[in-house]
Amino acid sequence: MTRLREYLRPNTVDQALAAKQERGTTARYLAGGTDLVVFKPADVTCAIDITRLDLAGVHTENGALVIGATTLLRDIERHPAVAGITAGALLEALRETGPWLIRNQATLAGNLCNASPAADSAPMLLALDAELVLSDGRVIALDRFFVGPHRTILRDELVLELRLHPRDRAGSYHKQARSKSDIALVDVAVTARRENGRFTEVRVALACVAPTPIRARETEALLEGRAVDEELLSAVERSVRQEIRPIDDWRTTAAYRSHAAGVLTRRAVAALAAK
Amino acid sequence: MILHLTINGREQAVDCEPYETLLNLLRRVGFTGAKRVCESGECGACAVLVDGRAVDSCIMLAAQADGSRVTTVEGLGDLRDLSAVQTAFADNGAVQCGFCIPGMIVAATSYLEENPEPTEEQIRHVFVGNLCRCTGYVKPVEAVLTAARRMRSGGNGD
Amino acid sequence: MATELRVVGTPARKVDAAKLVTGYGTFTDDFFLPGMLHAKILTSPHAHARITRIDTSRAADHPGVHAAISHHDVARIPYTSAGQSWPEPSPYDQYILDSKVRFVGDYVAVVAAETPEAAEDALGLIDVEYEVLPPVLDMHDSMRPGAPVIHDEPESHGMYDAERNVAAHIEVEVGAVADGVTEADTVVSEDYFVQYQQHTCLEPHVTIAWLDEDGRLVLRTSTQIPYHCRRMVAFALDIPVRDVHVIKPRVGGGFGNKQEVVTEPLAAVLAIKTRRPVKLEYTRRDEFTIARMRHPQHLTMTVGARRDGSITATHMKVLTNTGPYGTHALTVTGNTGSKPLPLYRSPNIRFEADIVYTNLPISGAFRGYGAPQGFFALESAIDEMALALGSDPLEFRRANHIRKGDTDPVSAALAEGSAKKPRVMRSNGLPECLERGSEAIGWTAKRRGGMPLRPNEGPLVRGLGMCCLMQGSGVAGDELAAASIKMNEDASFTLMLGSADIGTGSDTTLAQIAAEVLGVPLEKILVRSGDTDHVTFDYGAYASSTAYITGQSVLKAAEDARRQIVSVAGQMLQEDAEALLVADERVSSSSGKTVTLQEIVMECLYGEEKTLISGRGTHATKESPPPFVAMFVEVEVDIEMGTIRPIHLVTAIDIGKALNPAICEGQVEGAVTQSLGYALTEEIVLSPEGRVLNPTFMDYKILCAADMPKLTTILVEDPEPTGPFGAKSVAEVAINGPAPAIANAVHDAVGIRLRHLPMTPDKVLEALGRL
Repeated sequence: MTRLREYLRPNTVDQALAAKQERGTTARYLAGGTDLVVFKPADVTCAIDITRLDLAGVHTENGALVIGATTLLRDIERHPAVAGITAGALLEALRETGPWLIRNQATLAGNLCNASPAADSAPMLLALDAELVLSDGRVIALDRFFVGPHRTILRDELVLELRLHPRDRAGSYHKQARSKSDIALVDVAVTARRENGRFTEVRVALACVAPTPIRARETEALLEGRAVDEELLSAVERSVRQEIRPIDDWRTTAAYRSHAAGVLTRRAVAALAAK
Repeated sequence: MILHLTINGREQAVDCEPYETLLNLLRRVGFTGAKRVCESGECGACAVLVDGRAVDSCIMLAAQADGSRVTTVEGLGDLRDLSAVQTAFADNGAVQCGFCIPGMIVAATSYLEENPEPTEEQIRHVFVGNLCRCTGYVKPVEAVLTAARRMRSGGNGD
Repeated sequence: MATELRVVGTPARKVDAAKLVTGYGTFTDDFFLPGMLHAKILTSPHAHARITRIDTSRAADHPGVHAAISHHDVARIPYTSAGQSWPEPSPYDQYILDSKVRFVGDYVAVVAAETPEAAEDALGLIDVEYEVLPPVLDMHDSMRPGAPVIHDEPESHGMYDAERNVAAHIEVEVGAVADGVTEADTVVSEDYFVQYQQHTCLEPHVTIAWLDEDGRLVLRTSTQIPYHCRRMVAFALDIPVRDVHVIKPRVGGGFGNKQEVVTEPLAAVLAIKTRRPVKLEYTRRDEFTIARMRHPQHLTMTVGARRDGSITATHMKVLTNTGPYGTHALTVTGNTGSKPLPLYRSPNIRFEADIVYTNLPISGAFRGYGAPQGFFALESAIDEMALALGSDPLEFRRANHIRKGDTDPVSAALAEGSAKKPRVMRSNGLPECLERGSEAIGWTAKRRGGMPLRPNEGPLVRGLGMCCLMQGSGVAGDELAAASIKMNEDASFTLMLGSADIGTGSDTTLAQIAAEVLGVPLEKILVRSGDTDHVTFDYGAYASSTAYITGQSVLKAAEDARRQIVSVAGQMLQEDAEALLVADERVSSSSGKTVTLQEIVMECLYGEEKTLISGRGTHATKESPPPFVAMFVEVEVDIEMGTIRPIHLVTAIDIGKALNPAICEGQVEGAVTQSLGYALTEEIVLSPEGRVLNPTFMDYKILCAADMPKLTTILVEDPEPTGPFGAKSVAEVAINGPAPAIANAVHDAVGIRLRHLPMTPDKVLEALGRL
């Protein structure tokens, strides 16, 4: 059994990168650390604590919300700019990423780097065109960041910050789980701008219905420029079910996930139309 | 590695291994109020305050708390000088086996500092990460409401 | 005694509350002995296998390891881990370490080392070879001809029919059920399936074992049964009982999981072998895989009734999965019949059960002890029958339930204790429970009656359901409790109890009884409990026995002490002892003469006629009066998502006397919450090879604070003449209700019957034809 043998706390990004490059996959960056300590990944013997790298903080910049990588979920929630985005749907999604105690010590960036197919924050972030800024200068859209279950494009790079682009969208978020303290069975987030009763810049994103959190682009196209009526809502429900690839697991069946994803997406769109 | 922590107001230098969790370190230096239940951050029985934030100590490496102020349940009150939250829990039947209670008291105490006038719904939301198998959460939630009321009116109910 | 109660009946603060809220309360693991070793267990990856070769020598040589042992190193003595009175009604089919493994997780070897890390690393150095055997992974296969025999070893005994994998068998009939079915105008007969549920005590199983200065084995352990533990460990290790000392400190939840010797035997063996203190603690994963669970069952419930609403027959047939060992096999399933079946008057009652072995996790005692399963079946069937007859389920139950003064013939036939006389209902507050409970939920106004959904109704539909319940108070004829009280120099008293407070507040409740009788405030009673060297004998915390049985022994001990006090006071006051009153920490005569307890004790200890005030009481009884419950629940069903959301759950419970109302409410609230999980979210999920797939709190879902419906608890008191201050039990009965009440409410809302627990959204949608 591998246990941590080394704990490093570099003071600069360069120091952190050097330490990681030297050790490769035997080292992991640690911010909140909540996933690292629980999952104890095999062969990891070094933790590189990045909380001294001055990467915490939230600010707005040209309409984008910029979240430093080591910002705790609790601090993101409390930032005055956040509650207004999508009139509270983003805040709702953030509060579903884990219990209050966990949000006091976990980071949003860390949650994304863990890349669970069921990441509760991911659908709403995808629906807000989230991007990650990496230490090598690349800016990666979130839906390209996830590669597979618990796999991202990262090698030794550090995530420096997360950028969201709300663009005055309204939003609706639904999570279905066995209890209020559970990994989701299905997560859905829908955002859109509304002009003259029609939806534009529609985003439909889901988690737990594919190897990674995904955008349902065909369903988005179905909604783009349209006004919502009963027929469209039924079409949305059917379209989402076509786009997703849920699996049977011991939590629930693919059939249930598929059914629930359709219902929740329809409800999210209807809620958006009603707002 | 040698850590320097302030635990319940007293500075301590403690030797530890990189893999040791804050929970195990605290229990081994004598603060057994925080409990080992799940070791995966799911139940809150290990909750302590680190620099004023309530966290699950079982999923924090001890090393992460180097240079920090740590407060355990023992630091919130004493047997003959219970805090307002502790008094409320003791008085209204909120304590059954008691194993989840230190974590609940740490979480509640911290939350009331942020929000002195919580609703029942807000308290239940805070307690999502504090699992209990004995009480059904009924009296613990009532205890937090009672403590909040008393603290706002200036007493601690003793 | 003063006619108005001063301490009993009040929601007094628990005697251990202060130390629990400050974190000072010491549980088993909050304790450290110099040189203490840490034990880790090597467990089986196979559901059924023989260990053909095992060599622990490399592990034993690992730095820091003091012992690494297998079945080669332990005497082969069959025993049962089930904590019951002697002779235990469970098969003796377990061995501390065996050469055969019978479920995934079964013990293979154990290591004790100076650090947990060294012990863990040493496990990897144990060489094991298995001959994998075909497993029995479904209880329906256990008795098939040619099924693998799980207990083929000659030394085990007490199984009903080991060749056919039957641990126990029950068959009981009152009247003739076949005739009763024939006489019926309507018959309802259905199958019900209930799952493995895990207790999830927050505190895992943990034992610290060591040899004291006299070479006696000390077990500091998280247990519900200190005295049974002592006897059983002594037996399993073949050492005299007097050489075993069990200490039960604070316990972080038991619920039946600790009504067994789970970690004690292995910890003891290691302590003896290494001559060091050894701590053996289950991880949370161990709790979900190798601790105990509620027995899964397949029940067939048949009810026959006449058009006029009278019941002619009740027939319950059960297949129970006891897992690889028969702990509590006979008695849990005995309760599945004996607790529910007497509830409704029927001239013909039949109960039959096979309790079979499988190579799946171990089933054991779990709050309710077989009754939750039985009530799920019975109360669903009764509901269905009521509606089939065109009756209101409330009225149908009112017309048919057992009455005060009735005799319960089922209990006599099935009684798990040695009492074979029928129970007479000397107290029965069920009518009042039905009245007050139905009003609290709004029964008449809100029932939907399974009406079809109207077109403009949204996807959220509400419904009401109910059930009635009864349990027992202790095991009839098979309980013994004792208490002793000594008076201290400051006129306080020390109450010594063998009972086990596992969070139930029994130390407090029993202290209240003593304080009431002795005329002192609660703070003047110091409680010492659960240490077999220092307190009196008691069977322990199970079967809802402590308040009712130990309570009577405390009453007797306190009355004994009071008699002695009054006798001394009589001499001091020159008054007739008969005419003296004890209250407010003094003894007074009607003429106004008075002497304080403080003065009395000083006289006793240091005065002219020296004596010691010391009271004793023991209690055993053939009675086991049932508490009664009427439970009502309002649910909201989302017919598109399949979710069942309980909105309001009302428990009206007749407990005879609420000795401490806050504790009584807390017991109900906790039991209901555990059962809401049983009904809706909790199940141990197994792989096709018999491995637990969800052994964490994230994956095995118990309810959290934000999931809770509104709970209303109504305490009803119909005094029980045989109970202390009229009290019966409260600890278990409410756990039987939420599953059938919710199933009945779902039927009321949307017209479907769910007979498989837990009632998950996919099952709802399938029953609605929407998936």
